[in-house]
Amino acid sequence: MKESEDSFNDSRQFVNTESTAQFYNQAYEDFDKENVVYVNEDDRGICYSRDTSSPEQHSSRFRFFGDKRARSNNDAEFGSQVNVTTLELDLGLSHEARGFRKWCRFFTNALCPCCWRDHYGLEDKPSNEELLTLAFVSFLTFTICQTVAGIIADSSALLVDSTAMAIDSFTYGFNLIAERMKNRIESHLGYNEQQSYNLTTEEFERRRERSKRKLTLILEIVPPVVSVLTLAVITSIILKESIDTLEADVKDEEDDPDHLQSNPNMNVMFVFSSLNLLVDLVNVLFFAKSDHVFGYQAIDTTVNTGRNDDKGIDQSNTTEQSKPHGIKGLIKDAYKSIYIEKTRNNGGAYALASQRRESEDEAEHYGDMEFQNVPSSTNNKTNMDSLDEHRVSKFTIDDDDDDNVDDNEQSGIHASDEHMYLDESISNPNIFIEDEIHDEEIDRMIAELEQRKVRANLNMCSAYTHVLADTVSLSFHFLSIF
Amino acid sequence: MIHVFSHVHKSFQLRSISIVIAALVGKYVKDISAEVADASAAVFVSSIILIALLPLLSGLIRNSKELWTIRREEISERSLAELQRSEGTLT
Repeated sequence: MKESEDSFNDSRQFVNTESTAQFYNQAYEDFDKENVVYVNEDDRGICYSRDTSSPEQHSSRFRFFGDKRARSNNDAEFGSQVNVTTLELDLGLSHEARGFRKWCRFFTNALCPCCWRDHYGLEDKPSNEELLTLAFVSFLTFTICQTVAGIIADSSALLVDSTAMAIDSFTYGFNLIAERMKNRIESHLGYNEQQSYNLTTEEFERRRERSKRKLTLILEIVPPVVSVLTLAVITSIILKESIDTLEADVKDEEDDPDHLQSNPNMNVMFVFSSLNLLVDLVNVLFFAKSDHVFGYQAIDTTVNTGRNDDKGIDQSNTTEQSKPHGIKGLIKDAYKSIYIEKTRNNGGAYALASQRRESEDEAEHYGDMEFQNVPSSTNNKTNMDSLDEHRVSKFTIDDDDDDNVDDNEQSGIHASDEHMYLDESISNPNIFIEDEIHDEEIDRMIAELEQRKVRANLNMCSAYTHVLADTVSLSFHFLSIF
Repeated sequence: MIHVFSHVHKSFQLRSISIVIAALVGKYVKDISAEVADASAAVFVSSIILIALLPLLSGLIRNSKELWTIRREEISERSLAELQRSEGTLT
């Protein structure tokens, strides 16, 4: 630990005084040569281990080390420098061979994701970049093949599917670019601003985060707008053509039963659709290997759950909710997004930290608060074993946040015989401790949450009513066509 | 960032499966011609795509609102800084 600290302190001085390129090389060589100790944080606090991993893992742990150090020391400047260093290393400025190794890594991953990675000492899970590259290349290649096949087979279904696949693959491509740009954005923002406006560290950090978020949003908005518009227009055109074809077919059958407008090749359709499924399964396999079997989180993980951290909502719960269940799941997800958007706009449970309104006051009043799915029979002790969809709050207090304790004392939250344990499954007693509050406060909170739940149910009922109505009208429309 | 991906696989599988079914129906069911099967599959696939666009549009609207908020905040901060600077110059 001592040698690594010295190394980083030296490096830091070096970067402040001398050329950064030299610093990058020197820092990485020191890191590689000395096989330095890296910091690992577990439930008990910070512990130290000796790094015996591959050069790729060195780089990531080097970054990890810098981030942890920066966070523990609350030293934004230091963290930024480490980020810049690792970014340059990742781009292969110091080690030309890294580019070659990266491609080797990608192809070995593609050929045999289970065995070869271990053999080469690579990290077990593929990175986001690898996943996106694989998805982009496979989707784009197959899109081109399927488009040609669709034209040859004269199949509208294959063509509309190819259009959607093209949009999917370009979306992967744009996100691959965004993923690669993310670190660059994070590392280079705001230095001039801090100097010119003479900002405090906290204000500088806030503005830096905001600028990062802004650029991310631009990347998230502009390409998808183009994709969505293109997809909507092309799909609508093909949909209209298909309906016209069906209508014309019905008319022609009435006039001349032997008439045939066109004859799509069913064999080509079958082969390419089956191959499509295979490609999708391969992608799912890789996403599963990286714990993204159902895609990435559909819900923004920076949403506000009442806690003042950025962990967002319960991950396992979100993943469960994101599981596909056919057409029903697709429609449900669509309306779930709209519902989340509504609750977010109302400053509800899914509101972003910046959009919090009354919930902020609540958090200040009650300490950090986390929503969990717990049974409705919560008037007395809560049984966490029988989870259902009713919600109640779990009160937790961060042990390093003294303000929370003060707030709780001021608000009259203290130990009492008539208390209620809101969470009996606290995994880390060093970080979270149980809090005991008055029954009347609990009743008020439960009433409020039940009210919120009723509103949510009404919203969902309304959404499903619309879906049902749309489905029925669509069905009648199809029936009338046939 | 990657709101889009959660919907890719499920819609993709539905699309592919529907085309496979349409191909099998068009090939083996005598009463339904290949053309009708293909057009029906196209209608179904198009509907799936249009439904899958809803969450994407929702995400786009949300991101646009957030971007607009950031933009307004930046403008107000900049004008405040310029005001402070001009006042400092005047004093």
